[in-house]
Amino acid sequence: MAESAEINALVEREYAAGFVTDIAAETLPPGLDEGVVRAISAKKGEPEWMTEWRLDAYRRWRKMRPPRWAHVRFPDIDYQAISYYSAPTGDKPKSLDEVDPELLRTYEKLGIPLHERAKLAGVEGADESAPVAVDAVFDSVSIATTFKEELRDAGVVFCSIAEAIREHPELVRRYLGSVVPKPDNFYAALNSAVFSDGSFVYIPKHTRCPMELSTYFRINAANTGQFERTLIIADAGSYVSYLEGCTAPMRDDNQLHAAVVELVALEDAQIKYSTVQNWYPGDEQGRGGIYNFVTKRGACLGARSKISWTQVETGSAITWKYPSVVLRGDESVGEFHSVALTRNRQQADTGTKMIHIGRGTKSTIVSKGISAGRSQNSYRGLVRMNHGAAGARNHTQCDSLLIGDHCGAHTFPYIESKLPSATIEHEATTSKVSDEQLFLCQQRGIDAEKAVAMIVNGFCKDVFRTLPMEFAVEAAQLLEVSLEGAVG
Amino acid sequence: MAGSPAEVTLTQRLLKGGHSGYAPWLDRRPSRDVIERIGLPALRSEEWRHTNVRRWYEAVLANGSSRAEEAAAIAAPAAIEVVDFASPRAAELAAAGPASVIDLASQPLAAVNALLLRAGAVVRAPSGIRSTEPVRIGALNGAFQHVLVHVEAGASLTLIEEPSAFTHRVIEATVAEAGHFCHWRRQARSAERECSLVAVRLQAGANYALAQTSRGADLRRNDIRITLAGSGAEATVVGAWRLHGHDHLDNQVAISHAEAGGFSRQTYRGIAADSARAVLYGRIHIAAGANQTDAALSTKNLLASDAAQVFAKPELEIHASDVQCRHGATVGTLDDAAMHYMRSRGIGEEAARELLLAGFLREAIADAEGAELVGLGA
Repeated sequence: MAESAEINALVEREYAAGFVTDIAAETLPPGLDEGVVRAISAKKGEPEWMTEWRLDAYRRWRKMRPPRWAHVRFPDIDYQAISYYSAPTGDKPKSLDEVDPELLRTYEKLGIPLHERAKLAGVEGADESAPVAVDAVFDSVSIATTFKEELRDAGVVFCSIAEAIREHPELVRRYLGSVVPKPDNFYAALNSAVFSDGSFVYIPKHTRCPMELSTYFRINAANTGQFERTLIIADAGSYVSYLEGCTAPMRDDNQLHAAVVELVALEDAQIKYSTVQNWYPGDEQGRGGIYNFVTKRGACLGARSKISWTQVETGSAITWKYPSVVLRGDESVGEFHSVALTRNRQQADTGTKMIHIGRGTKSTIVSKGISAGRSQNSYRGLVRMNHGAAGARNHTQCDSLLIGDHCGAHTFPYIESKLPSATIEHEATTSKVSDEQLFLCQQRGIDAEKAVAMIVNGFCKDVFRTLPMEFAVEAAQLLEVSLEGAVG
Repeated sequence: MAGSPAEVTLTQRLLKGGHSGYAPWLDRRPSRDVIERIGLPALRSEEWRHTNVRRWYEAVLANGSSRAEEAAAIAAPAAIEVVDFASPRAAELAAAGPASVIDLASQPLAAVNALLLRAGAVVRAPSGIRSTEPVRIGALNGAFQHVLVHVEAGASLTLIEEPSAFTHRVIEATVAEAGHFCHWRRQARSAERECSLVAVRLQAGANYALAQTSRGADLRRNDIRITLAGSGAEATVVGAWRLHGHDHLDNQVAISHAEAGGFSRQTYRGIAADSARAVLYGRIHIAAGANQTDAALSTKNLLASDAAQVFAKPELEIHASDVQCRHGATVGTLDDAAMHYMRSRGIGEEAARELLLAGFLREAIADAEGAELVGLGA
């Protein structure tokens, strides 16, 4: 492109969340065997059934092999070289003065608002007027969960998964692994064996969760993996909007993040799950960065239930992630809105699966991929209409934008229909940022960087529109920052 | 040796035995190497996800080389040279022509073809010859067939493949600079298990147009690989199919843009009724540096019964930035409003359905002459 030199110069901004917090932590030595699985379970004070559940997952995982079909390349991971548990040490602090100042500075640098930050660092009795409740996961443990009392008044359970295993075993036993079974795939099995923390949400019948719920994941320790587990259950007629954010320090080694997220929507329930994924993507040469191998799946079990995934993916060295919806309830609805931006040597293989089982089910997929630098960005999706899905509909729109001559943009949609009354429509386009659009903007005095940001923003607006407002602003800014210097 | 009994038996037979003895000038070592090194496709491989390759192996073992001998049916205008693989002239033409365009590693069935080959022909359109009269290829002697097509610079060739039975057929073509190759394929309904490979390489400014209509077979698999190896090359593929009963049709098309300024269009329309199963994988690959490429694929499918199935996978793999690429895929059934419109004008239900279905297939092959040629009616 004509302005490539100018545009190229724009992208070299550093990863802002790439610092390391020097904090005392208790970390298990690297390696994985049944003893490690038992040790994690013991540290969490888990009941026997949970330990057995983990061991079963571990034994299944040992027989599995990592998937190789994704359009990503990386050296084999040595699973015995990873530490599977790391947690900041010390008792829970009573006031800000007692909180490890390093932990405080971490949240300050990450830009979590002050009133939330007091809570995030584990302080009791801080100002709790913020509209978003946060569960902060630092390496392997949940540091704190805010607004628990307000939520409790509404009947909502929002806590770490470790706490849920202790306090709500009946719900956990019933639903954990019901959407993503232990042997679902290699990384899900590994997660089932070693997950250390994550968030648990239960919204009771006919309840609209009074505020947005949010989890903030932070990997800090070196040579560790993060394996969080999230389980959200929306009972009949309820509604919840859930946000997820994540960052990690800049390191030359790759770190593994293998999470599992399970959503369950019962009759007439709605779950809106939004992610802004900003794990450290590695440097220009492709050194370091997070391997983000995540299994996210929702089950619309009840009639007229709805699950909506929105993701803005700008981070991670490698992303392998397919947030999916199993549309079991009649007239249930699944949505997937995604923006995936890759630059430098990032690789993303991401998309969704919509499995239509119930009658009159509907799904919408909007995927926007932006590739820059030497990155590889793939959309991989499956739309399947099973025999019972009479009158089901799907519409998929999948667009890729190319910035630069050395990147790749790929589309691998699987379309499977087994009944005539179901309708599937799939469209995909790939093009570059058009010279005409750039010229038009620049002619009107908008510089190349702003022009590209505007064009990319317009390209992604269908997805940003579906994000909660604060997140939409953050996502747009994140994209702008990520694009600096990537363009060309 | 791993694999199903049919696969193991076939592999052993191929590795132990020599080739059929036909066209001894053909270098079959690469084929044997591939079978030794890579083996035959396994049942659960991604490329054979929807077609049970073991059933084809059974067909090879059952009638691989013993199909009733038929007279070779090739008709060609005088300006086009056509010679049987058995003649020394075929060896000369093959040696003088461009290198093979088949990637055996990704097409191990072509290796099987080479070892069991019983019928083959070289078709040469000499430089500058623009023949309007087509070459017609009907039934060929033997279950394994290979047609090698050389369209020389500036030449023009029309090839019509008429319905005939085979177990495996390879059409391998090179089109030199500014050459034109127009290829019609008409696949009749068949109770056999048939696989075929069309591999075409286009040089700068060359043009290839393929129109294919298929009825189903007990098992039918068409692999089509087109490489736009020169700048400004053009490829157009249109396909229409109508399946009934237990028909199975698996079309695997890949168009690869290796150089800049290429243009490709793919248009498919398919109908699956009863318990039929239709598969279309359509891949567009654009190599780094193949800028100013314009590529598009459209596939639309109608399901005409509760037991019919459609699988579609339109793929884009793009490594260049200045390109225009798109694909679209739909699966559904006949539009009620269109049916109602026809019925309200006094057209009976069956006739209305037929008209709509025929019209739907004609979206793929628009010109009347072409539609007639590939059996879609005027």
